[in-house]
Amino acid sequence: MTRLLLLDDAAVVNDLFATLLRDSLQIDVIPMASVGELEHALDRGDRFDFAVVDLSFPEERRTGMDALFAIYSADPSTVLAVITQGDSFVAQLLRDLWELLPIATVISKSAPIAFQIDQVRQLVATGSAPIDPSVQPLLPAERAEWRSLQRFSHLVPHIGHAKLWEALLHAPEDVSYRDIVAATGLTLNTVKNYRAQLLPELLNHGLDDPSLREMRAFAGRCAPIFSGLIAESYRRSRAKAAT
Amino acid sequence: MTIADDLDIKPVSERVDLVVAWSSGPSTWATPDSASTPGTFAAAMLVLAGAAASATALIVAIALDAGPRPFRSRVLLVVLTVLCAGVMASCTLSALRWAPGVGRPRGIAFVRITATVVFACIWIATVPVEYSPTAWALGMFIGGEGALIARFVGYERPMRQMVITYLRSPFHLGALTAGLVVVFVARDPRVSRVVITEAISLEFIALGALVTYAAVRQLFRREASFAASVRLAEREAESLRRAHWIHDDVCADVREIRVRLAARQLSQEEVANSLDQLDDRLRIRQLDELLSGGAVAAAEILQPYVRRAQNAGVTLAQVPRFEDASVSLSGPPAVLLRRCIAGFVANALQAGTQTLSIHLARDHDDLLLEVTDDAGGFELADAPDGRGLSSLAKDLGSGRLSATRHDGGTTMTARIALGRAA
Repeated sequence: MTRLLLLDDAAVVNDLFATLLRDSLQIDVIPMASVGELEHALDRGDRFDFAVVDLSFPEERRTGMDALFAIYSADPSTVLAVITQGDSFVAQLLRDLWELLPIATVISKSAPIAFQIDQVRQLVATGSAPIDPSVQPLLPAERAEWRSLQRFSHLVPHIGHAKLWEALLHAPEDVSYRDIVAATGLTLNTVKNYRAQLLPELLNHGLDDPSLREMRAFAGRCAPIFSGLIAESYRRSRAKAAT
Repeated sequence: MTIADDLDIKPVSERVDLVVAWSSGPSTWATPDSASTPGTFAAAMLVLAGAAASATALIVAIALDAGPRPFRSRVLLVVLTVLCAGVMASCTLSALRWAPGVGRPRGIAFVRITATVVFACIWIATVPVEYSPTAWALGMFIGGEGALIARFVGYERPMRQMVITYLRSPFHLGALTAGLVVVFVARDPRVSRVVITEAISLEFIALGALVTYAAVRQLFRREASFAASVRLAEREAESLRRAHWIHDDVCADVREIRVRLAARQLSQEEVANSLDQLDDRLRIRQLDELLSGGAVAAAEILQPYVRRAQNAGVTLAQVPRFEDASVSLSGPPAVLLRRCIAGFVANALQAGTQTLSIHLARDHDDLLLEVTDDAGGFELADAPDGRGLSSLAKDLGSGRLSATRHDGGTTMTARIALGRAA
């Protein structure tokens, strides 16, 4: 039977919506309420044909990016969708997800329930569905070629850049060069140079001469992607040092 | 433990790191948000004043020099002085975005250090002993830049530590020791005069730098404290407004629904409608808060009204593209866009439209909004005076609101000027 994951931290509403979907679509709907629960399930080997994921998990301090990236990494054949209020709070995260992952559709939580169920029906039947009209203006019609998951490695070309991004991921909101220097042991000028080297590629991600604070926010939104690339960079550096 | 501890990285002393950072100038470290505050502007003015004052002092010294220096040499020295002061000040101008930043940090550092050394050499060669205290102006330049750079990179050093660091620094002790040695060895009044000039100038530069650094750091602290207290006051006022609204509007509506449910006055469909209306009002309120907070993307202004149409069962045949809807609006254009979309959607829903198309496009200095319905024809002239569309037409300006009839429906068009002042 078709397996559809429904991931939303509003557990009561999520369970009710899962029941509605089961009754309407005659598919196996698995509701989950946290990214942690999802990760346990993926570690056990659970896989899904479709995943409909919320964007905000404030209690866990995680986002839909963590969840969708984990699902995609475990099984790229899972069809991904987002369910969201679609307001300004998550607009940038939604855009990042849309451009970086193969999101098939975006469902608005504020649309009429029948409309939402119909979107899921189309998704299950055809593998995609039109994006909710209230959310559509937040997303570019065409995904930019220069902004993809594969190109993210251009943002971590060197162990020094890995250190910079790792420091930004753990930095306070009003991060300064001093914070980065204290975390990495690099000099001010070296941090400045590493930042300058990243500017052309950051422009592809919509960041024009970003401040450290903006880079930190960007790193936070794309944390699961950066974490993997940073770990890989350290691994390569240690392997090189060992030889 | 730092990230670098498990890899072979040689530590650099903080002092050396800061000196290297200072040498590449404030423009290397400034960001648009850090460089645009009133405190930064005031500090930059002090820096520029210091550069101008020290250059002026040196030019006057060159001009009034009683020695046998030929006129051509004096002109050359004046030109060099102005050039060096200009190079030294250019980084501050770049930090304020008053001049373009040119070159990489390493190149900028080389040029700045060269200009400073040349300036210092002209000073020592030209300025008489009794004139040496005017070197404090150069200290004002150095101290102001130091405070700016410290702010941009996030370093905080107490004044006492700065004074002790300077007094004990190899530069200070070395310069004084070298001067004393030269005086004792040379035993020449002219050499002694130069050494004493250099020593007094150095101490006055240091004094000017430390005093200016302390003053600018105090300015930044007071600016941050004032900004924090203003933000706190605004947050408190906003929280109070929000609390009133939640209490008076939202809670009252929710209570009404509960009471009517308890009295069995509402059917399931009526409850759903009441909740949809409450949802709609919450989203409009959310939009109010966004608009009062600053610039908002056009897509966010349109969103509550698109939802309103959706909840009314209307099919959205077309919505604006991201490229057009991501334009950022604030002030009168944002308010006008909201009034237009609210009015057009409300009228279309009232007329019984089944389908809506919303189109947004940038047309030179205007934003063009078109809403097309299939609710029958409508004439703008039929709109009652002083209300709704009539008032909107007046506020948009002559010829900027139109209604075009087509088969089975109407296209309402509004042209909003983006350059309207608040």
